[in-house]
Amino acid sequence: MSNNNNIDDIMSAYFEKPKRTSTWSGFSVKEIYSPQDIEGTNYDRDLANAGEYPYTRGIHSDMFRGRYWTKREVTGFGTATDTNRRLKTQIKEGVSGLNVIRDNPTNLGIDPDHPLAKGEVGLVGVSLCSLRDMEDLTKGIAPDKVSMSLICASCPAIVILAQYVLVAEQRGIDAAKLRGTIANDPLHCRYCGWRPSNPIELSLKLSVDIIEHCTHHMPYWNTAVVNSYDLRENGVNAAQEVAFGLAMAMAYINGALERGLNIDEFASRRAFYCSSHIDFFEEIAKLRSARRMWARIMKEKYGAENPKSWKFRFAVHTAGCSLVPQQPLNNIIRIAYQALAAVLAGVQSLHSCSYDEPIALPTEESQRIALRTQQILAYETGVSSTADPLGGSYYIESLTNKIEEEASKILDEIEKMGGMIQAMRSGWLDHEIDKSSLEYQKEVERRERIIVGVNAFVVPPDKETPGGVHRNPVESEKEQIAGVKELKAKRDKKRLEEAIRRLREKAQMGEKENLFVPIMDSLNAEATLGEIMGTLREGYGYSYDPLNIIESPF
Amino acid sequence: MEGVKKEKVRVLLTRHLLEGHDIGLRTVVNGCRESGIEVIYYPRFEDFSEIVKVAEEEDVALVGITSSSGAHIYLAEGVISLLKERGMDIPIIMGGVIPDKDVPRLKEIGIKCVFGPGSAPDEVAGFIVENIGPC
Repeated sequence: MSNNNNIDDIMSAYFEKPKRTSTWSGFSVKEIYSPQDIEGTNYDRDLANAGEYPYTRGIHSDMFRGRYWTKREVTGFGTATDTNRRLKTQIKEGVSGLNVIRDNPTNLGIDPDHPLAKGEVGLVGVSLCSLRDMEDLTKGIAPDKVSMSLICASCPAIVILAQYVLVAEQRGIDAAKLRGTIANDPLHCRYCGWRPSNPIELSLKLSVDIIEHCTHHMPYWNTAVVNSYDLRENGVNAAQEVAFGLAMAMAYINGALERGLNIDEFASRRAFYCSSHIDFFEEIAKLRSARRMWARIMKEKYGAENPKSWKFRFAVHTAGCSLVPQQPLNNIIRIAYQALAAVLAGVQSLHSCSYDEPIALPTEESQRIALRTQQILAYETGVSSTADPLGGSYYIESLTNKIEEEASKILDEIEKMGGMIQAMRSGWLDHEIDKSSLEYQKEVERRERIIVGVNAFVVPPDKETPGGVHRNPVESEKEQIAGVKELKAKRDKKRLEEAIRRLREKAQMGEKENLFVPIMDSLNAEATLGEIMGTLREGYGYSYDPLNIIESPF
Repeated sequence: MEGVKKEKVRVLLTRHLLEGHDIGLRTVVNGCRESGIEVIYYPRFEDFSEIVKVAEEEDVALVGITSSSGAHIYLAEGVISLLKERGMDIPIIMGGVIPDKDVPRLKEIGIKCVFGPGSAPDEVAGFIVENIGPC
């Protein structure tokens, strides 16, 4: 399991057998699986055809024969104009949906001209501070003709979605026609390295506002996505990914029910954002088990009656954390296996990573290869021709059962604590994530997990990254900060102050008062993202600035 | 503290407030602690004066900053110029998603060592033990 340094090594390589036989999440794997391993599994009850409850084999009866998965590539850097250019390139290359990610200041709910934003504006995503930014982002891209996924999972999701709706309306497009997804999962962000910008209560409230508003006005929009992908990236295992993801989704559902919505009104517009890691069969089994568990939770626990509410619809982001900077072209192969696993598991929408992601944001070329990976899967390999081609495999079904069993145990534990919000407050979730991520790292160091190029088959590093390294346009940050300052200086102060005053009043009217429309009004009066978020925070009795540096200008 | 031999070398490991990635940093913190290094783990600094203040108060022998968002040059320039301004000479190392091409520039700015993507926690601990002092 290392480089052959002399002629004797080739013989030990010839006789070598795998050292690790358990899955990457630690499930032991037998030499061979047979009907005995799935004794007790009842086809109609536990599997059923695709399109039938409990959807273990897929949510549509015809799966990809009805429609391919949506091919998207996450994009965002610099100014909205910079990102718009890349989106248009992607459209030419053949994506079937768009996926935009915001920068860190936007994620935190502060403006680019905030004293602490400097150095981060437009770096890891696009800066979306004002309505004007959203106009620039979507210039030449008709919102009614494209499925748009907006990743802004932390506090400002409601502002970003309101920006998008307004831009569509300005172009004469009814919000009811919009198709896409808002990554509306402020709870998970607390576990992904970002500083939590809003307290749990306000995060949950705004998340439910989006669900409520979309339920009544945007029937094709995916209102809430739980991002278990990010949790997985932090080192949790496959069963934990399922359990934590479902438990978070239940927290939002409970919030929406408390708001007074009926489960069948909104549950069908919920989606999940999952990882596809490197252990091929484990990932397929994981996604199948999540689908079955969710169907049962929705039907049995929540009493949902509409079959659409039972369906676990999910997007996959191939595992960024499995990619390594050593011999980076090998990542193309890792990504292809992970994308294949996602497709075999019946994914609805797929982002396949670019090989250079451990080094920088993707270049145009590396992103093209990522998209081509999906296209080769779709058009050449034939894997999309039939639903759940691995269904009935003794191994896959047995592993699906095992992951469900383990994830159910974790879910029960969370339920006993009083649900996910309690598990978060008590610090239990932090502890579980830390424990798992440390264990993962230890196994790599002990070479219990082999990563080619890292702890085996190491070669001297390349001098240059093949294909080059993405560079953000140098002037983008300056331009964006200057643009925001200019916007703030030139807008109609009276109109703005009036809108902000009304927004504050609404925010003080209690948890049940939906803030989506007042936020749209504020955006129309040219309020910025930071100003809107700050005003909401004040309305709820918190400081205007989540970083406690600046005061409200109003 | 000249002439006083410390039993353990003490270092500060930190990242910027807006840096989203922390798994690498936390892994390095654990790795260093296991190598007998005393680590002051400061999860988020707001501005450069905060790093300098904590470094002084905690009397650390080295500061490590992680950056995976692409802000490494900005961060390096900021912290080194503040140290120079105050006449302080604490070695600074950096880690994270830093392209190899940027390493010469970081060294020129005054960063002692750069642990780019794929560096093992042991490498960081090894560097500290070798270059800074006893454990």
